[in-house]
Amino acid sequence: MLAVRNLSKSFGSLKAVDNISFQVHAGEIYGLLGPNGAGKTTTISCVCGLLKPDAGGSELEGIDLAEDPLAFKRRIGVVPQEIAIYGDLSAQENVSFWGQLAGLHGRDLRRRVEDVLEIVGLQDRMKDRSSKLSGGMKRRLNLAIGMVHNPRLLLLDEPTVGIDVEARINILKVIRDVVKSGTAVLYTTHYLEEAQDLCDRIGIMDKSCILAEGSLDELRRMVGEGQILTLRGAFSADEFRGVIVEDGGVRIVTLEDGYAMLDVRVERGEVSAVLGRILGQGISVDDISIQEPSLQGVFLKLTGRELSE
Amino acid sequence: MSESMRRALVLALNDLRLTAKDRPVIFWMIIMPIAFVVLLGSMNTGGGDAPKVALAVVDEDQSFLSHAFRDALSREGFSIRDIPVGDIDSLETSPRSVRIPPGFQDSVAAACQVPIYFHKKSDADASYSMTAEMHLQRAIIQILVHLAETAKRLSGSDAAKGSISEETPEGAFHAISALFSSDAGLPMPIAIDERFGRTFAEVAAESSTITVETETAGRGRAVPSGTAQSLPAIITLFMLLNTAIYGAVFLTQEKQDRVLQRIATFPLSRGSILAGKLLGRTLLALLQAAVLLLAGRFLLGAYLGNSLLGLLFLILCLALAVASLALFWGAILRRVEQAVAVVMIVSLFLGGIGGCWWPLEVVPAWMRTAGHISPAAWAMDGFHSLISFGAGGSAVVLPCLILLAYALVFALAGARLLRFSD
Repeated sequence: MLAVRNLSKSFGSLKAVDNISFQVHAGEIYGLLGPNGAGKTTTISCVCGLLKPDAGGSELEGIDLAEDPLAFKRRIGVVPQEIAIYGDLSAQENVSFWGQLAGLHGRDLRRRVEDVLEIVGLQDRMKDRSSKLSGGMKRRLNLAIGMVHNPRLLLLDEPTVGIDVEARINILKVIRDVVKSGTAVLYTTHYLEEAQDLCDRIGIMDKSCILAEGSLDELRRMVGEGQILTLRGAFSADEFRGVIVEDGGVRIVTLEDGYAMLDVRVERGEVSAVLGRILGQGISVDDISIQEPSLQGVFLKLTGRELSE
Repeated sequence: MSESMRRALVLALNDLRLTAKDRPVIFWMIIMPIAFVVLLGSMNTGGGDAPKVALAVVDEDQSFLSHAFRDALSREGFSIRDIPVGDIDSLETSPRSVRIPPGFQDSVAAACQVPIYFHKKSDADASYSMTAEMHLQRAIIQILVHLAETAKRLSGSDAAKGSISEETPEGAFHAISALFSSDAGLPMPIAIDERFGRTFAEVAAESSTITVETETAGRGRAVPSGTAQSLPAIITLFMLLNTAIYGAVFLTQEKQDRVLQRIATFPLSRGSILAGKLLGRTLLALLQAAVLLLAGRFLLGAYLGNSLLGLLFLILCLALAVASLALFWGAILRRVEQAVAVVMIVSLFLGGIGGCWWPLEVVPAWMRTAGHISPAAWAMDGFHSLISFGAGGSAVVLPCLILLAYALVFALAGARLLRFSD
């Protein structure tokens, strides 16, 4: 459905997106996971036509964005990270206005406004001034606007930022329901759990590039089944490097003074033996953590650092 | 209607709806401008009655003729303060005074020259004193004419009649001289008795044979006044203020809230978005003009000239110019606070130099020329041509062309500078 090919975008000397490619299929949620500044929003902006890429492009159901932007935009719905609504208008007036901009009118418009407000659970507050709604309700309204015209592709840029758990669950449920009708979703987030729970496929993005992509299982397999052993203490990097022997079972992912991250691919019971070897060499360790293979682990292995919330 | 035009209209109507939802809009677009039309209209009516010149009068003669002279002074518009003869020292406090000496009536009746003393203090307002002297002369002439006419009627003589009806001032003076000369055949000296007094009163009550009416001729322009100045001025000023401020504020707000960026993700071309924004502001400006035109015409009874078509076309051109200005401001300013402050100051300035606060006809020529850098000046030229100077629709062609040029320049600049995303 959506094919993004060799997309690149720079702002002056800053490379925001560097030659990325991915595809999103009908009825699929594709997540772009990465920390702030990884290039996710720039990617979405290029895909929805807000920014003109320096190279590469996007194609949706055979329509090239650069060749026929209006036809492309008719098929997409964008939910920006910011709550882009008119605070002085009611929820109903907001959705209706955006619906008209998308080309709806008359009975279709009225029916669709009611439907979409019901889907996001705002039918009881549809007459209220939008500025008076809670943060979570505004987020749902933001989502409703992106869906009002039944787009073939929904672009969601961190749609759950800054809201409480209940509102987040609510929004994620709406998105799951939307894809059942065959809508494709491109979803950016820096929340690991969200990507893990929601997305069918994930592209891990860091420093303007997609480092890896696939389903959660594919990603796990890609980086191996090993565990991540993280050590913090009063040791130097050189001192630590002197005691660790990298082989097929242990690999240093990150090493700094006082911090070491190891990829340990040994039988479950043998992790303590690895730890014992390190501690037996006189390395002073204050804190030890062991993580099972997860998206966090995948991200750690790929980027060498944790993805903080 | 094409799809892109329909979407541009959706944007425009949404801007109007947002304006209507702004609570102070009734105050800014209706109450305040109408109040200004009334206020400035009252202030610009040309000053009303001429100021009265104060004059202290001491009548030392206390005769029929001295009283008649005092009445003539009063009719000339002096603010008269009568000073009793015993209080003659208080004349020192009066800026201007007249003393009618004893024997005034007898001297006049005997055709002997008699002085009337006019005293002005050195620190009295010179222009007022000059006005007082002129009115004093007029009062003297009036008395002499009435005396002559009375004497003529009582004697049955009409020898001087032809001379009095001379139409030039010089002719009138000659006629008065003639009346008192022996050739005129009047009884000299005249007897001022009760019969004379009655006839004199009748003569004084008759309306003047000659009156002067004044009107402007040639290429000189009178200064527009009353609602002829205030209505066009407030229409222009508030179209400029409200359109530019609301327009710029909404656009900066939309940029700030990322709403404009979101609009750009919908299936609208850049041209449709700009057209929608421009149309919204034009409709707002036209709405403002309609409110004031209707209020001016039906509440205040203002005269709107002979060419309604010319007037409406002028307003449309002005609306396009101010809408483009609003787009330009919205494009270059980043924050709402900036938009309010900058656009209000600039709009008031453009309105001021353009003749919205006072008619450009009262400012020095260089300032009038410089003021035409403002679109308001061209609009005011057009309005005055139609409303104050009775010109036809063709008189607004040049102002309209200039306003359309403003519209084009600012619309192009705004379109070029407006960024939908950071």
